[in-house]
Amino acid sequence: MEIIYLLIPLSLILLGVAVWGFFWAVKSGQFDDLDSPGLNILDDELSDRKDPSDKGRP
Amino acid sequence: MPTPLDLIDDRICFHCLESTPKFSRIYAQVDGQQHAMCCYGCKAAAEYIDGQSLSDFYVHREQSGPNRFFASVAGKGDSTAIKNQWDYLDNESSSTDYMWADQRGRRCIDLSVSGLYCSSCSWLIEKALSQISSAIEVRVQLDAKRVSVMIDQQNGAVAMSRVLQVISSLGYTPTPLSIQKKHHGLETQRLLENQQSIKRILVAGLGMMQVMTYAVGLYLGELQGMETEQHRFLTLVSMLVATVVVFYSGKPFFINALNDLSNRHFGMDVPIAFAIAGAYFPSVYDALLGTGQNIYFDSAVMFIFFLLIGRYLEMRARHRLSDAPDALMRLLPSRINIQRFSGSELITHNIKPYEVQVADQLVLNAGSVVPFDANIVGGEANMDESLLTGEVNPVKKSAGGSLLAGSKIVSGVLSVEASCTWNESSIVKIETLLNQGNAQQSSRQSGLQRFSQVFVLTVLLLTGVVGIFWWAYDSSRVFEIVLAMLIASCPCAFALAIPVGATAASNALRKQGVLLANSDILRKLSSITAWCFDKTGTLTKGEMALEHVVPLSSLSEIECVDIAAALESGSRHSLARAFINIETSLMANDVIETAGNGVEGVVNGKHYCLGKRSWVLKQIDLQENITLPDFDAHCSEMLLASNNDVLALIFVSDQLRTGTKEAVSFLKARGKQLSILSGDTPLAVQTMAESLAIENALGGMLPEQKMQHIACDQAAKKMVAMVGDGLNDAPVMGQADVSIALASGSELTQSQADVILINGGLGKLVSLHYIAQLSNKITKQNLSWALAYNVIVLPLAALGYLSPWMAALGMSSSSLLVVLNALRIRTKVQS
Repeated sequence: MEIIYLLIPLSLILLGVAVWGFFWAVKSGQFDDLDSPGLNILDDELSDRKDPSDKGRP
Repeated sequence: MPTPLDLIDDRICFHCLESTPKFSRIYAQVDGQQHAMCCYGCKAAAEYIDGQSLSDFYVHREQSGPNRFFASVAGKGDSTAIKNQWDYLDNESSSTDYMWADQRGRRCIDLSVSGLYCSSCSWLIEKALSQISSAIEVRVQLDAKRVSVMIDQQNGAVAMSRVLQVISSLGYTPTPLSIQKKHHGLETQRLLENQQSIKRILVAGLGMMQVMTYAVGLYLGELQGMETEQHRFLTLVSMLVATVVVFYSGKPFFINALNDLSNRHFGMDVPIAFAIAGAYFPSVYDALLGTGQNIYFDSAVMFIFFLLIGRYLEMRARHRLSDAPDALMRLLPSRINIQRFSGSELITHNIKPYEVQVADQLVLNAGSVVPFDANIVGGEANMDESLLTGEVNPVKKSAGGSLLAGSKIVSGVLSVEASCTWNESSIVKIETLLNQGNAQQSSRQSGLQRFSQVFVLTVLLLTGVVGIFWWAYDSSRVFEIVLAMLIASCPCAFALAIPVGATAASNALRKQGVLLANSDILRKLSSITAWCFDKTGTLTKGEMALEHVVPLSSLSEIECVDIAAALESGSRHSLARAFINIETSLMANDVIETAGNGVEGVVNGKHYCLGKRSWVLKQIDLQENITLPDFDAHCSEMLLASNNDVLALIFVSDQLRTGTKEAVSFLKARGKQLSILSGDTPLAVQTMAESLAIENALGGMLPEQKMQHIACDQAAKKMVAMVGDGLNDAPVMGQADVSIALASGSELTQSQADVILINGGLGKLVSLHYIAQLSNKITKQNLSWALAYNVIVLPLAALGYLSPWMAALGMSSSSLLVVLNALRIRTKVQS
């Protein structure tokens, strides 16, 4: 089981990368509004049903 | 397509969910269907939304949820002034206070937007702006009511003023935030607090998963046997990860505990800090110098993670609404063009309202808000001072008179001169009153807090005693038992019970259209004995509307209303405003308005008069042997007559809001003392009080007087609740024990209130009572369970039957139980 001497430090490095990524996301304000992105998902579904020429109207 | 002769009563406006006025026939087409609208503001917003293919907004928003918009396209004529008011943002020099460039070279601005209540509102804004141009990026923060807009310069020149125009067309009111305010504002603080908490939870969560994995290895190793080196390796790695979690994520607990101890206050954080330290430091000692068999890193980390989640919920419940200073500034325009004497010359300056100097000159047109206290130099106008005094009827002002900042010109033009500097103005006085009111809120230690202090102290002493006992009896188990006791005694579920109940109640109330800013009031509501109401805008809708029509000839009600609406369409008089939302196809020519009496004109070739009955009868020269219905003290009446005949009596009044009677009878049935405190004339207040059967009715009250009245009641040991809406109610909100504001009123008042009623009905007070009752019951259940758990588990730990990991597991499940119980609030409300 000596492999854990390699795998665990590796996973820790991966963890460090994950934490760095999360911190970057928090700093760029992605966690500031957790409510409306949920609606955006539904929106894509509905606009597919609509006439595509409708999009991009001024 | 509904026929033009429809007479429809009491429908709900499709856009803002308020009830439509009687006789109103305003419709807007959304998604191919006609929907009723309550006013032209809503109609314009709905048509804009439909025109931009954003009608999904109406599908997604919560059905009975908060959606009152502050439609700024108010009435048929104010739009040009509104459209141009942000042009200064397109100018390099005048926009530097608000806009900046980020690292990507984009022009950025932060806006404070009022009327944002639910997530579909933020969706709407994001979609509408992204449809203008792909160069625009929008970020909406609902809780802080803030919208950040970033425009990419290369991809096309989109004017920032256009962005604000669009937001306002949707029915919201955007205000640019100055850069300095951004860095010091409460909203930024809250944002940072939110971000910090999330970061800590992330680290704790990830760390917890790692340490638990290593712990599984270690436990299995104890069962199956493991090489000492590998055992040591896992132990050290656990320690490494746990160290990061304890000192980063756990830091707030330690700091709070130290603060508490230095203040000799035994808050919840003290045993928590003891437990974390008690799990961590001895484990470090054991890992480095001892056998490595007695490590509790997994408990420590798991502990921190669950506690952080509880704290986060609590923080979110606290962060509900924006702060006062922004709301105060939003009353006034951001910038004004004044003329100032320099020597003997008049030079135009573009300044912010608070930079005003005495004798600065300004010309104000209809629809503008007076930005500073001023003396009138020339002109004549009708002023709407309702936000300040609560009076619905416009007040006539002319040369020689004075104006207060915040009043609005209904009609006419005024040339004014600033009478004092900002610091001496009435707005600052209101701010001072606000602060006074807030200071009245004593931070009494609730019974609960005192109890928890005693609890904590007892537990620590008990742990110490038991520890000593075990030291004497069997010292090998001392550490394990003391740790188990500390963890078992930890009032985690106890600390979670209240915020979780408050959050569940807030969510349930939100769906009913009631926003809870301060969850303390759930507890206080049942002990309120006196209820005070403002009159205009609170008990009533705040605007003149058609009450009913008594036809006196062969013409139908609708035909009479049509003619009357045509005659009054150009008038800005308060009674004429009752017709403002009636869509009529008739046009009136040769309209002559006789001030104080009425209006006359020609419609479809016939001459009509509309106004005071004595004047109308004289105008048409009819004999007095016509019997007319009696005067109605509650309404203003207008007589409509043609040259030959009296046609109808039209009654107009400031109607009660839907739900007012319901709320009043509900409160009376519970034996509460009711009063009306209003700035309106005593006679009007008395009339209203009689119609609602309220004994106490006081009129002509200034904000200070309202505050005094409430303070007197409070001195007589009564708990007082205040319901208001105007700016003159804002300081009173702080004085009352429970304060409730209406979303349709002054924003400043809302920011001071504990509760905001979104859908414009006082009937929601009934829901508020029921939900508060329910949430109190469930919170009590949770608190008793949490306490019972601690009481059962402590002796078990003391006697050595509980190992630390079992204690930690028990604590987590007990917390989970508390959360699940709180969810019952939601299901019970739905039924």
